[in-house]
Amino acid sequence: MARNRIPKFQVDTARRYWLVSGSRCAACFVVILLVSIAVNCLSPCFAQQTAPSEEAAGEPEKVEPDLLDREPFDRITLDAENDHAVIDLFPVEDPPENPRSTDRLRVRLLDAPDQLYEVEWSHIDSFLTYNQLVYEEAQRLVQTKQFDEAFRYFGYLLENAPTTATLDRAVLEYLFANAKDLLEHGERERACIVFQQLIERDADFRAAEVNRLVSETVDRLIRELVVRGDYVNARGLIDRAAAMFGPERVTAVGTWRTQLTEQAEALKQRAAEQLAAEKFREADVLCRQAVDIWPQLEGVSELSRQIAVRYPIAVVGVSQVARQFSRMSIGDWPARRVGWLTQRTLVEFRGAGPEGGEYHCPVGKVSESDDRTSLILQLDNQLLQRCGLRISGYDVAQHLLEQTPNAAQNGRVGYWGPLIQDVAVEDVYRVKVDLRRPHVLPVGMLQIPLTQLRRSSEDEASVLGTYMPAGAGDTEQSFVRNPRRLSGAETRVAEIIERPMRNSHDAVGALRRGDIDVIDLLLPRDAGDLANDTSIQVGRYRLPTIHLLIPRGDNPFLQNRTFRRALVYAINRKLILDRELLGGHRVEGCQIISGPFPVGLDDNDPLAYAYDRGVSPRGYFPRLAVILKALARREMVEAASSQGGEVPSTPRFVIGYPPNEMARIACQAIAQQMQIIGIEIELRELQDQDGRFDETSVDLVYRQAAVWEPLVDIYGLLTETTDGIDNDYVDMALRHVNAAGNWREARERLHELHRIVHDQITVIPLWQTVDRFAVSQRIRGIGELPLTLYQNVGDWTVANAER
Amino acid sequence: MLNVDMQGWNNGSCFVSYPWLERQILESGRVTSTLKFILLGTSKLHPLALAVIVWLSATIGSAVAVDAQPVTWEYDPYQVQLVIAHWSSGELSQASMEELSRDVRRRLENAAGATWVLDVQPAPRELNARIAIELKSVNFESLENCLNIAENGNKLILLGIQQKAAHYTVSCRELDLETRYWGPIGQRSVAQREFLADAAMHAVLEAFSPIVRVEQSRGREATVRIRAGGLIQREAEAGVVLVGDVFRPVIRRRNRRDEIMWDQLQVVDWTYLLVTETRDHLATCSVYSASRNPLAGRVSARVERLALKVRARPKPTTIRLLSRNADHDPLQGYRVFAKDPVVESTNEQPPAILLGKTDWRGAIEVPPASAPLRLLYVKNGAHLMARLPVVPGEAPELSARLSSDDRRLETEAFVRGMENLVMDLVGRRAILAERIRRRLHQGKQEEAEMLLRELKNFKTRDDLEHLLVERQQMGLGSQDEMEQLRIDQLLTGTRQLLSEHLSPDLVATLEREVAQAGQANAKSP
Repeated sequence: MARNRIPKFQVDTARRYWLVSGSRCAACFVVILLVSIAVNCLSPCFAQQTAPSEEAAGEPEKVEPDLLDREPFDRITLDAENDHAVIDLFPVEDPPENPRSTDRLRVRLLDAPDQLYEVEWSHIDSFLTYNQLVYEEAQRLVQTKQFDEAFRYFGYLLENAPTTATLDRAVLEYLFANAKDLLEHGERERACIVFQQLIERDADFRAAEVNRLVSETVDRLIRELVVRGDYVNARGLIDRAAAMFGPERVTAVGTWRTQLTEQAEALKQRAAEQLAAEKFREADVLCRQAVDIWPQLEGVSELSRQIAVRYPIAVVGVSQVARQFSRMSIGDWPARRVGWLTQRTLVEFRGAGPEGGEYHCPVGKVSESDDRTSLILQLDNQLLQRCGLRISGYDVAQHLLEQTPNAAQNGRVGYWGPLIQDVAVEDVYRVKVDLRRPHVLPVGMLQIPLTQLRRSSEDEASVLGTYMPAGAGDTEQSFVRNPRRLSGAETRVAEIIERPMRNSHDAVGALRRGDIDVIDLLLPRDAGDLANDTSIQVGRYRLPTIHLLIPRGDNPFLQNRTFRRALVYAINRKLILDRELLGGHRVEGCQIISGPFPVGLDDNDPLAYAYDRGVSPRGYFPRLAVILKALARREMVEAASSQGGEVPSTPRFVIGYPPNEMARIACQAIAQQMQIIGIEIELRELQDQDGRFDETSVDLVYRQAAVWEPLVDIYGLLTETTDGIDNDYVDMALRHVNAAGNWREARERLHELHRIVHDQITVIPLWQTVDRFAVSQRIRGIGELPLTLYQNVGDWTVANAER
Repeated sequence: MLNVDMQGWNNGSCFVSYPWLERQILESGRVTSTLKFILLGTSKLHPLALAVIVWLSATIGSAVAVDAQPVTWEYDPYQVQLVIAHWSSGELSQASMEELSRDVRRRLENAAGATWVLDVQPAPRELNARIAIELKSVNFESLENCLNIAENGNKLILLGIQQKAAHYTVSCRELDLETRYWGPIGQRSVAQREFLADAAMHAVLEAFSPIVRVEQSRGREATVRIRAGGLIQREAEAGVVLVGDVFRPVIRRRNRRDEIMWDQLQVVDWTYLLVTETRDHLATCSVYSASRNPLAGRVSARVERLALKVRARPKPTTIRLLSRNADHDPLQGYRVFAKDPVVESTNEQPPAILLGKTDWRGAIEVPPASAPLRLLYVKNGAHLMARLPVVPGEAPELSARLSSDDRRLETEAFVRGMENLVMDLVGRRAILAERIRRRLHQGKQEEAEMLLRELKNFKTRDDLEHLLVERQQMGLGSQDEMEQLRIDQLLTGTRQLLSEHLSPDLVATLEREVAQAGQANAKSP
């Protein structure tokens, strides 16, 4: 073994590596050049490329690891003769406690482990073991207020060197400093936890100061929660504070208990008065508030039961208030939800069957001829009379004929018009529809809202659903039982109130407080968090929804197919879905999609027949997106130059989204990702004006669509806006779908449509979600896997409402 | 001057044709039956003999038809027969109708000048009500049965006047007797009796369509001779032809007995002549047609190429596109663009405006524009299907038969998808290749190998070829030969694309580079 004397040390302290930016630019240029050459062969307009703003992720910056992350070592600092060199050594076994100056220390350097060196103690200014180094570092971190980091160092010492001198005191000082720092930064809850640790370690440590700070902090925390109306957490904090610190240390605990009880008692009294005056809605609100503030209040449960017995009310927290009611709406979640509450159609979708959807007629029976070229509707005259519904076969026939070639205005007919050959009425209540050609699902044409068949305003109530609108406040909408509803059974909930919730978190809070009974649509990540909450039942809707971005208007960039492809490659859909929406939870059925159809929940999902699993969703390739964006711009410049026009240098879009949390989160993430590749995005929450959302000034609309019966619904989804992308191939594929004579053809043609929409990107498919609702224990009867929230509203009951 | 086309000698005799001669004689109205016989019997004559015959014909003709004057097309006025019908609740008496007839006649003669020889007569009793109330129901046969149609007449104009409550409805329709072509029905309404004559006059003038004869047609240009063009004194006269007027060609054939073969009368579909220049009684026209050479064919005295003026009305016309198959299925979703004809003076290409897509009936509405003639371009996907000239308002609805193009469009959709796929693949391959080389340069052999494995998982040319074949087997063919040809062209282009840009060499090269780098790393200490 070689033995060397250490002369002067040259210590390389700059052991950090940065990626040289110049080499990145060069690499970037080469990539673009290569792709440019490659793609240029495909398209002559791709001769030149501008370098993209972002390029391959650079090498990570190399930083010396933290002390705790390194293998233990000792450190000596040499004297002035050696320029005070600091040298890290392999741990020295049994270093002398009081060495003589002539003694020599035998060491191996970390930088030269094969060599053994000897150092005279006279040349050593200081010798620090690894634990001493850690202790010093912990103290330094406390001084620089890096408390989280310091926690690790103290944790190491407490575990590995608990006998270190002054360590206990240092830890107490650290906790105290940390708590004070948290208070200074307004993090009172965390400060309380730190104080609790401090008190547990030493209850006498600066007792007076600690008690004062704790009491003040708890009082302020409770006050903040009460002001916010978060009584659930306020009560919880009162209990926790009493348990953690004891009521003698925190005087605010007793004060707040008294105050809240009195507040709840006053509300209970007022609720009782309102109940006596038969003002049920007001009584219900006041009683809910009293329960929320102090549920243990004597008599409040009984009062709640009395209200529920006399006038059961269900309050539904909704992600978005419905501005229009449409049971058939595909892309308007609230309209569809309330449509199922307030509307009936001649034929209604009930769920998945062996071949497509299953339908039933609430006012009669529908049958098809064997060759599927005619459809027979037999209206139930007695049922109609019983409900006071004055419609006959002639009303149905007239409605159908209005869609046909001869009656339609300017030849604008819908999906079904061209299919209808003839409509005949037999015996007033029997309608026979002859078709020009067989259709696999002709019953779909009878999904006519009864409101469109009514003859006069007298029929208003009879054509409505189980509930009817009872008025809308500034925010809430109310629905009461419809006395002339079609279904004969008695509904048990007298009134349904829809209350908009700002976000899913607030909605969950309101549900826990008892302010609301149901949440119509949970943010998927919150649904995962609620899975362990036994007080709340989380249910799933039977069919998934798909989320899309639909281009509209005449933005020249969006009219370019290459650019639309760039958009798809630029959006990290999987990341947004997994992280932002699902919060890291894995939810069966939530996945990114490649087309405008639901992929279903599994391979055997009967309503996923339209989705071609052979078409894979495009991946996230931002660099390819940059290249395609440049290519698209070049195409557009060439096209514009021939017409004397100009193309803006930077694409700029407005993305409109409905005012709900899921859309907001998704669109914000999409906007950030588009900005990475140099696309400027303005987000606009679509505000309602006169009951409609103004979508005219946006370039892309975020849509959550319920494509339940792809064969029928896809037409409405792809043609819902007249100023969308007009594409000959998609139109052709739609025509082919409409002309399918059997299910095999229909499936093949829908797959073809899927492939063409994927190629042409007339809509930008994002992901499919399996949507969930939440119900408190107060409401029962929502049912297993409902299609919409109100599918079984007739079976809803309010707990304790039985007389 | 006599022109005889000498086509050649055969066995010592000369075969001659005499279109000019025949036409001149026939048109002069001086042909006697004797001369016709002579002409019909002279299929093979020596030119000199023929000249003698012609000279004789002129002499004999002048001797026989002493009262007939030598008249040519451009100096021959229109023989217009105006038939007036009325239907009223009593206010219009017989006397007032006679007065109205006289008034209308006077006004028309003033308006038409020397270009018309007008004969005004009341409608026969059998047709009176139909002409006055339901003009559309009157056809040529009913007219022939009830009316004495002038043998040498050119135009028969039916004028119906119906009194309803406090206003009069004037309906008018022209029947061109030379082509038996019915013009559109024009209608006017007046409230006061005093304005009735004026309204009637304008209705007649609007219904009247000047006629021209195509003298020469070469490619997209034709020269026409205007009937009564030599008699026009001022621009406002009825028979005047102006720059910008549009004519619809009609081909009329005669048999060997010089009788018009009415059953072979041919209105040339989707063809219009647009007058670009007038000179005396001749006009130069641009020919706009859906066919390549619509006025082609052997020039013969028995084939007359006439053209009737088309008046644009401020109304739309619905164009229906139907397939040529037996069922005439409507061609839905075809994109229709409209363009005005090129203006000669500026020679600027007018912009094409997208009118929309044909609906489920294959129909699209063409609105009227500033120019009477509009050119419609029918496209399906990227393929131009047809070029149809239309005068909006001429008819409420027109149908065009085109070969179906749906299979080709299906192929085009598939091919466009493949192109996207190839383009994206080329881009991704290039990006990944660069990343691999960069890793090698940095000595990161493992990462380079990992990226190479990723590259190998990309779709290859063979994969895409397989896709192409699979799709072809699923049905990308057509019964129509032309359509199949276009489909084949599209697929061939795609195959070329694949072979040119998705070479497997890239993967092989990178494999080699990675292997070499690996060996180099292994050798280094």
